[in-house]
Amino acid sequence: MRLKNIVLHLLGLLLAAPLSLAPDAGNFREWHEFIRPSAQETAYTQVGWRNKFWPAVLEAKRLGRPILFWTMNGHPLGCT
Amino acid sequence: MVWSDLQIQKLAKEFVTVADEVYMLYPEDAGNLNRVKNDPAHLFFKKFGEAMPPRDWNARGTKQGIYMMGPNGEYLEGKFAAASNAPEMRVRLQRALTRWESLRTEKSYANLPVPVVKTGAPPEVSGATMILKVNLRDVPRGPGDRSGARFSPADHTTESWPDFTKWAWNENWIGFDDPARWVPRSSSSEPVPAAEMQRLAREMLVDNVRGQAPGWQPSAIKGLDVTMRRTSVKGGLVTIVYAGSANLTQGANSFAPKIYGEAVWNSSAGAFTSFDWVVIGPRTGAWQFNQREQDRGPAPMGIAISLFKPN
Repeated sequence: MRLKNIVLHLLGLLLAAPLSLAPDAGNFREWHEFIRPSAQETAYTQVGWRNKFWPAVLEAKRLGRPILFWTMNGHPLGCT
Repeated sequence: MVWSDLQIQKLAKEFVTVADEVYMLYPEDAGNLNRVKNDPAHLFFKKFGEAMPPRDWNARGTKQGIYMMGPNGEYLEGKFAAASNAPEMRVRLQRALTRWESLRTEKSYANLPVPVVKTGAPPEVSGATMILKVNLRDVPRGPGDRSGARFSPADHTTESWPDFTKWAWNENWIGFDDPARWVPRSSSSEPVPAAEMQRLAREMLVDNVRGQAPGWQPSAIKGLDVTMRRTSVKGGLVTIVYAGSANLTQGANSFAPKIYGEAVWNSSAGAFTSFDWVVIGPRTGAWQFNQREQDRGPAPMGIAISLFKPN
């Protein structure tokens, strides 16, 4: 785990933010990339999540399969 | 978060996986509990919770957590507030699958293959014509500053419940039904329509990087000036540039960013092929649940807006 964190830290250093805090034509792609979450940060999407509980229950009943339910205050797939 | 663990991702494939908001399903207050008392989803989850070991079910408070259940709500495993301890969650998932093997035999469940699904947008926006994903992040406050870094080893030395508050990013979503409103009508510069721009500002230019924040009240808009203009038209593809600024102030809370974006509109399809904005500026203040009590600023916050393509 320590090695993994060090590697991630170094990756973070490579992704430095642009110098100017005013987005413009010259730096906005760089800022966009800096602000957006990395693949590591969005690893939760690697689990294919359905987004509504009850339809998923009905699907599980049809399939005769167990349910894995992740629930939070605010939708786990984005605080809309 | 536990979902970055490869073994957990593999174990999850054995289940019908679902993520949903907890408060509408199992409210904590009596008034809202009464509202859902006959809702089949609430009753299903409540029955499951009543079968859980008391140490793993937060009977009196929030039901946020990760739960494994049979197709008729049978208890397999689970725990409230469990999204940060991967080793523990691996064990619980394995235990759930062991229990499932017994249960499916006992009840003759079909155990058909689980279809592969792709994680999509939250249900609140999934029907919109144009869906925007809005990411927020603390950004450096000066040369060498790392407070908005993507990864900090110090943030990962513990795996306690509030660990998520150290992750300096968040994701919000907004949908619009008439994307053509974001396209200039002529080659001249013109303001982005007020209704769309105000909705975007009030709902999305909020400081919930580290917690929850409400949308801005209409009176919080002290300034909002964003223009759009065409920069090229080639083969039905219109390239558009957006630029401007905002001043949102409500009591001690404020956000005063500069805005720049670029997008490509496909005239024949009547849809955007790309839509990328960056919004950066100083924020101040603290809301009740946005974890800024000790960090009221002014400090810079960045927002990246992107077009979400479902498939």
